[in-house]
Amino acid sequence: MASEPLLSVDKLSLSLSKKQKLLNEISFSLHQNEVLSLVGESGSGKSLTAASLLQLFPSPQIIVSGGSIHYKGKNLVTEAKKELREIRRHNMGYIPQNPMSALNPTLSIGFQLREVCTDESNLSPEKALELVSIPRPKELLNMYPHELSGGMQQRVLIAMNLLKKPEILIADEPTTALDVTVQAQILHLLQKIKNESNMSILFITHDLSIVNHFGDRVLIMNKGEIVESGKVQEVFTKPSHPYTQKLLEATYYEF
Amino acid sequence: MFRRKYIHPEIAIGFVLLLLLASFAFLFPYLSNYTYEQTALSSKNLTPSFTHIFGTDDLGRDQAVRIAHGLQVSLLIGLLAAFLDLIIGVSIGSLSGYFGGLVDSILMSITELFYSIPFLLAVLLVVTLLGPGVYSILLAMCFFGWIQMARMSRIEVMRVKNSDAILAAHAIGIHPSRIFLFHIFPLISGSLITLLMQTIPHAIFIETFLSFLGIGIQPPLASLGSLVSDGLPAMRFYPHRLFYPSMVLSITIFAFQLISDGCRDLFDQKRLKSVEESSGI
Repeated sequence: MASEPLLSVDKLSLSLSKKQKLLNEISFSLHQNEVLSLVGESGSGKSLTAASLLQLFPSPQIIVSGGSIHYKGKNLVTEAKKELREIRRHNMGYIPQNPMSALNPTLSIGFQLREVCTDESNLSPEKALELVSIPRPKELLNMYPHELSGGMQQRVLIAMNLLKKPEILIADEPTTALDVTVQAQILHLLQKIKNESNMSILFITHDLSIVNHFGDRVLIMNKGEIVESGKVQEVFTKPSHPYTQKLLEATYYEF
Repeated sequence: MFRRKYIHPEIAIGFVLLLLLASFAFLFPYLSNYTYEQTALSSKNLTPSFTHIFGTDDLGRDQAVRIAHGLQVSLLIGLLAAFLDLIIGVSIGSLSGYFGGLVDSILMSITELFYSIPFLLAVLLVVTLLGPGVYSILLAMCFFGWIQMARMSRIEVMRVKNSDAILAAHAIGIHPSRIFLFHIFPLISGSLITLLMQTIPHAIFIETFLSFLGIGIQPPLASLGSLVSDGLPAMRFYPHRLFYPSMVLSITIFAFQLISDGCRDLFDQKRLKSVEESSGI
């Protein structure tokens, strides 16, 4: 990974009304076609990191108090709203934590998929649903989110990102709400898509076994700071930071 | 894509009742041999018969045609007033809820200001100033009636705008105005429809009340309220003159109440949620 990083975050700090720091000078970079896993316990700032890449956090309450996010020569922290919207529309994909609440219950699946389509996208919504191995995609287009199971909803969200073909996919615990068998299917699907369209994935999770199978590099977060980063194998076999050691000891998996 | 698997009984009954009432109101005057202003002093205060199914009033006018006309006026005023309330209230309320901050404070202070004026008093004042008639009633009612709508839509927009679904819509880079119209609006439409269905009978009540006091619809045009107030003095000797307009009024209000009740059932978030859980999703 000697090449120029696709996205680099440099000493980014987020604060709650200037007093309380939520993220403390985090720095990392994301390269093309890699899976970067972000691991940490609840409340360590994983999701907030993801939100800050999209600049989607409640803005008057939470403010960026320092640092920058560089993407294609642009600093996302200072970019105008319109530019940010374009980047979100074309370059960045986002799979939210909870598929049940991420789809709008009052709109049909077809409508929500068509919302993502841009002029360049050469896939039809139906084809995208087929690619995420959904049976009878045509029927699904006229259905509403509550008629689908959690795994199906998650697939629809992935299909949305297929339509968009983003360079960077931010997956915020995409499998936490699903059971184990569906989890494996979804992960395989993500892996397949990644290899086909050469995208980079920022994968947020607290499941270390997923990281072990799926990730190229890993970032360990604790209390709003990145305490350790490196290749998955190296970090998992020779953890240097005490928190990482504790985290690995806490699991019952053998690595 | 309207694929309900069952018809809500209350809404169905309400709609059938309304349909019957509306067809009576708008078709009966054409089918009848009489008009609402045609007097016949030789046949005054007749009790219901085949020629005059609801009898006649003290000037010998056919009561059924007058009730049909009154119902027309009441329905039109109720629907129009509620609709205008909806437009004004939703635009103010949802702007306030969506932008929040300073916009919210300013718009909500205006709303509070309007809310602090007693509704009936203000309506009476406006109608007295503008002179009685359909338009002044309408104007007066939507001048002060939008407050409920504004509050409801503000709260609903505030509740919805930070939901995951809307965040996800922002995350795929949709323009905020499009998000508002196509993503937020469908989410809040349930409560708005419910409130609209409650506003219509309320507006009909206000109109009836104003006409009953004699400052609403002016004779020879009739509304349900003026018919009831005409019938009141004759209650002891010709009860049919009070009974029929009151009955039609009650059935109208009842029909709207049924629909609004059904809507509340149908759109209730908690209920929807429990249905989802029980079906194992």
